[in-house]
Amino acid sequence: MKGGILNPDNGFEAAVKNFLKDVMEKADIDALLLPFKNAVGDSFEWRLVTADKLAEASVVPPVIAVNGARALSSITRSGKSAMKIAALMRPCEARAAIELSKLNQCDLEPVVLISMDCPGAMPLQDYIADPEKVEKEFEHAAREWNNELIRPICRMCDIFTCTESTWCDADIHVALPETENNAVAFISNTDKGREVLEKVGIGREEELGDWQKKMNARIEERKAARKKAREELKQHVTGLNSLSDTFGSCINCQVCRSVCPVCYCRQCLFNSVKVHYAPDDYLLQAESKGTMKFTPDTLLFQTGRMTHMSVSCVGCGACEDCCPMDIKVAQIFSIAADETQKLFDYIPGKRDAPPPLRVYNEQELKEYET
Amino acid sequence: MKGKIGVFICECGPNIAEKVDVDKIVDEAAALPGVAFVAKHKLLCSEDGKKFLKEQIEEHGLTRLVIAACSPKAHESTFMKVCEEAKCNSHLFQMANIREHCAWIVENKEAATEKAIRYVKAAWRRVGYHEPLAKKEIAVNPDVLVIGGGITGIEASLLLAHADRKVYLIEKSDALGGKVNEFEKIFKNMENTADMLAGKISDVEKNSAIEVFTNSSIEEVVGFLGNFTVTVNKKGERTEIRTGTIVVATGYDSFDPLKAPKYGYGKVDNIYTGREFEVLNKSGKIVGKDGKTPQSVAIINCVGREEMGYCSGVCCLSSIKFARYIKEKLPETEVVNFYREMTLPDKGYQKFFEDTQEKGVNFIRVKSVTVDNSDKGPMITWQNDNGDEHRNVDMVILSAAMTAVNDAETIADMLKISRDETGFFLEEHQKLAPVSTATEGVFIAGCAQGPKNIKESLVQAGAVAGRILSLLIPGKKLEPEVRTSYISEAYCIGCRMCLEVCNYGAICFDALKHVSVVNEIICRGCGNCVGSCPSGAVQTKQFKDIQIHQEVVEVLR
Amino acid sequence: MMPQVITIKKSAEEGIKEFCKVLLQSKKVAGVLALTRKNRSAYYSLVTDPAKMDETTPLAPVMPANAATLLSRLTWEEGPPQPIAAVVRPCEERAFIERIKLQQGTFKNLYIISMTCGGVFPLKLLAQGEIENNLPQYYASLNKAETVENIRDVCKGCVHFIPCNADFTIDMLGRNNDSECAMVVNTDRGEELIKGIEYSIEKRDTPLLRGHEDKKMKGLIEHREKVGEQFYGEYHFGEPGMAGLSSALYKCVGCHSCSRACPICYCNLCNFNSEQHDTRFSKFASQLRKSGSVRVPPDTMLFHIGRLNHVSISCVGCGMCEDVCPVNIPLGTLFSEISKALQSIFDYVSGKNPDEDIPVSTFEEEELTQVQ
Repeated sequence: MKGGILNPDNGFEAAVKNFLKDVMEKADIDALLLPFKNAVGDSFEWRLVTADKLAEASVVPPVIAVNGARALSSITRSGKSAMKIAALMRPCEARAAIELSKLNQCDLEPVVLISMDCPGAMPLQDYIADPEKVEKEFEHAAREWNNELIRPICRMCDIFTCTESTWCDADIHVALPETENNAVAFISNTDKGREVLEKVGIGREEELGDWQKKMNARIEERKAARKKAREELKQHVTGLNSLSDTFGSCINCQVCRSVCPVCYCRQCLFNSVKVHYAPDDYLLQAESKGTMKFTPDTLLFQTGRMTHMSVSCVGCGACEDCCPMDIKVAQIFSIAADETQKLFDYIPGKRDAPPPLRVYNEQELKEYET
Repeated sequence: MKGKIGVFICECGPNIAEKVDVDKIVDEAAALPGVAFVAKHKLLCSEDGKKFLKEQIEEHGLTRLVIAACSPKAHESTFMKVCEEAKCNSHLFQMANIREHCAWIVENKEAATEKAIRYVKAAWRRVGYHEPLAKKEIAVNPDVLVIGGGITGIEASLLLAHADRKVYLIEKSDALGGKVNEFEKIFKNMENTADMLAGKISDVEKNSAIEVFTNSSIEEVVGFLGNFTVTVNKKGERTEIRTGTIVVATGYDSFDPLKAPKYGYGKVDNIYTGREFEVLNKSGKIVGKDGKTPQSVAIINCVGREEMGYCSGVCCLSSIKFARYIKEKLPETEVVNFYREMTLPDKGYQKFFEDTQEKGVNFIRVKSVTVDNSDKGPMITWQNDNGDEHRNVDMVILSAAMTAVNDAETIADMLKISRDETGFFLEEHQKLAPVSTATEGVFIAGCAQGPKNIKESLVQAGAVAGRILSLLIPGKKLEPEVRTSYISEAYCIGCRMCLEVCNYGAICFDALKHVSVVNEIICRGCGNCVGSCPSGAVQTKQFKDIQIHQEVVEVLR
Repeated sequence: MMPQVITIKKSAEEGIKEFCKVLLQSKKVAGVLALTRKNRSAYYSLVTDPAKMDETTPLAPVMPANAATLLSRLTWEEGPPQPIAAVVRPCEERAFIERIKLQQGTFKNLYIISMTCGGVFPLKLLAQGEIENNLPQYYASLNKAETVENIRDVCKGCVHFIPCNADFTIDMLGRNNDSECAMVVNTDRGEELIKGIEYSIEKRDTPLLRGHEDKKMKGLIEHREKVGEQFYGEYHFGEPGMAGLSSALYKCVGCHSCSRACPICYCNLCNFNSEQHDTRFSKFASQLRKSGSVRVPPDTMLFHIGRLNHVSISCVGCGMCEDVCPVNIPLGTLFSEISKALQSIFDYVSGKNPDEDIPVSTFEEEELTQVQ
């Protein structure tokens, strides 16, 4: 694997900020989309900024308060962008942005999408309860691979980097080779990315073999963790009874859907009048067993949502971060997504692969025909 | 429950009456809320039955109808017509299939009756959610635009012009005639092509109803059946033509033998494709590249058959024709035809083959054949049951498969028609609709639809003309499908999934509002779009989520 | 006139279950809507079989959803074909009355059973499985008409703990609920419903009858009002203007859960999710030119102020919004305190009087002169 290496004086964050400054000056970029700590200091937010605001940015925030793909989509969805934007986000967020672009909810044409090696993120609600404490924990956790305070969904994530086996289709990926002098490497994945690196004067020919080897080993670790998680989680959702139990505490607030980057509908079908029926229908339904959970829409919502977005699920964990009833939504959905994506040989976040629903292949899924 | 519902149960002679307790169904139906009238009848689709239906609707002022009878495929339209005549909107009507789905498949009478009752109740439930849909009528343009000035396009144009239709004939080269121009003679009678073709072309030129555009290509097609607008580009000059139907008669191209290197094309001297040989033959002198007259000629069939995966059906006959050409002009030259199977369909071709054999042409059956270089010229090696054999010849002719035209994909995209795995344009149904496509108003004929000989092409030209003449009659208005899909602008977020899965090109995207929009005239109501929309922004009239749900809920109660 | 009081010699919870069973058995109602809590799950059940009432926990101090939304579903269009009784909290009942005013439900064939309310625990406590542990303390505080310390903030500041329009009210606040369930029959239709049911029905005095005039209740109301104001100040809402509001709302992630959980938010497609609030890029560009920095996604404040604008005249302070907020913004306190202030301008108390129109639908020429 090859890329360009920068040897900065003051660490990863400074190196990336310098790079972004250069990108704005030399590569015709008009604005940056980055995370910032908010004015009150109690959370993080996305801001579209000009170069002079760069210094205040927080390159690797401890939490993903709002998924970067949602932020990017809100800017580029409506009306053509006259400005070129460079957006820096975690690999899962970048993948979600690419998925949204396939669904015409995000225009990536004027965007230079930059991802970076991700150490994981802390649970959002823990952070909200005590921002200072969790920030300190993150500082430590970010330096120690697979720290146990990182969110469970992160500890089973195998798309946290960009090697030849786990590419990331962002235009540029920023890697932390973790050499002695804290070098930072830039890998370009697209022509656009290559052009930017050229203009900024970062070469692309340095060998990153050691880094790739280390990352591949970590990916294998995580793949094993996924396998283990699958065995465990499977029990919680196999059969209607388990499914009812696991999602029994769900109150149908649908926050999982509204913060999910790839759930893009204005009005969710499962929250609309289309799933509301007449009172006598409900009474009749209740009579069949003598009692009925009212409303009976919860499992319909969960399984229905999964049917709709599973092939695009990138395992970002926004759902689990926000669930008021502490259900392991992200872990369950992410493992289920592995299965649905395998069915169609589909990898969310891959640029040229159209969503499976759009491609009719007469010869597929024959194993499910009776 | 809305309005006054009438429930009619047809006994279908003995078909339903013997297998199901019709009286019990009548009783159950009468107890349903909103049902104003229930009756059974021996045969509702008969003249007497229809009369009875109409009378009862009018007498009782029925506003919604449930008819429990046979399959909707059989008589839905029959009863819808009765509704219309009785001034009850024909869409406020639901059929329950108690014949094919109950009487004919459930042995036990009690079980069959129970099932039939469920079906009737389901239809009753559903019909309350039906909406009166208004009929639509659109004026249509009866003109025809034919793409391709070959024999098929010419024939179709003449037939249509003869029936007083205006025809626009678009040809990309500078002359009409197409591939047939290349042939000196046509099998099996070995008639002179030029005379036949010249006559047809002259007819076209004399016919004032046919407007010919040579050196022209199609740039853009918008619209739908009865209302197409086609942009034609003639050497930079653009014309917009309004037409009602389009015929794709773009013909074929030939398999490139370079893709099958075992035949030695391009490497070995004096190898000609069939079409190159026709040119040589037409020049009057059959000679090799060295100017010498060949003493022996090998004709190889099935070139490209394996690679393309289909039999073109004409190469065997073309090969026999080539053999005849050579025997006519060079009687002393030896002709050997290597073939795998001899395809001689239709009347007369068997004799054509046998006569050619009698003229001394040697037909050798082989399992496979290759052509290589040697110092004595082309060397043929073939395998059959006797093992490997080989010999030299002075000239080789490769009878190559017919393929789809090189720009078939562009044409297909423009016209929103499909191609099959062979690359040729896809007909609507292999047996029942061989010249129409899934896109209403766009027809295919001749080799554009698949490899065939001239006779079959002319047959298809006639078929297309017939279809068009009966489809669009000047002055008659088209009644497009009313059970179409529609998209709620408020709920649509513009992901265009529906657009991608629509087979009819009936959905377009409004970039300003960032929403998708259904063209109700093109829409056939198939419902693919509804299935693809995660938010339920698309619904199909008469098949809305709530209508289907109510039916299912009632059946399962 | 002494009203009728039904007394059942069981705990309040067992008593109400018994009452509902009888209603079902005697076919006075076809169904009962009541809470069921099982470990960490809580949901409303629609019960048609009397025996299944045993599985319910109608008085569980949790609110997985505001029942007003559910009552709308159950009384859609012309109402249920047969009568249904629902056991709901006062704020749920008030929210439903507001919804009826917004054409989202009807009283037809619906009987409301409510109670004097000691509040509910936050959903977080339910998710952590801590409800069981907190029950003894809850009932002890109910007994003394004191405020339980870890209930929802809005409950701690709620003065509407006596239901206004229930057909039956279970008297719980300020009395022992372990061995007797006392239910006041408030309405004529309630009386009609229990005709023929054999129960200990007496005419008697009970503190509930004096409602707000009762000394204990009065004391509780005063205490609660103070607590509400205190929270409002604590959460910086006391700072005047946008500064105060925005500092509390900075961490909002725009999930709109508050809107979905709110019983008053009744729109099918929220305006703030519709195309009317899609922001064209040119707007971002011009904002960027002006200030060099634009927070995205945009319109956080617009959403909250807009929602305040739309619902606060009917807000009942149930606190669902706060419970579902993933970033713990004290929305319940914010909305209920602002709503209180707004409603007092119009002398309106949401959900109190079913015959009183929502102020936004009435026009008086001479009002709000103070803001002209």
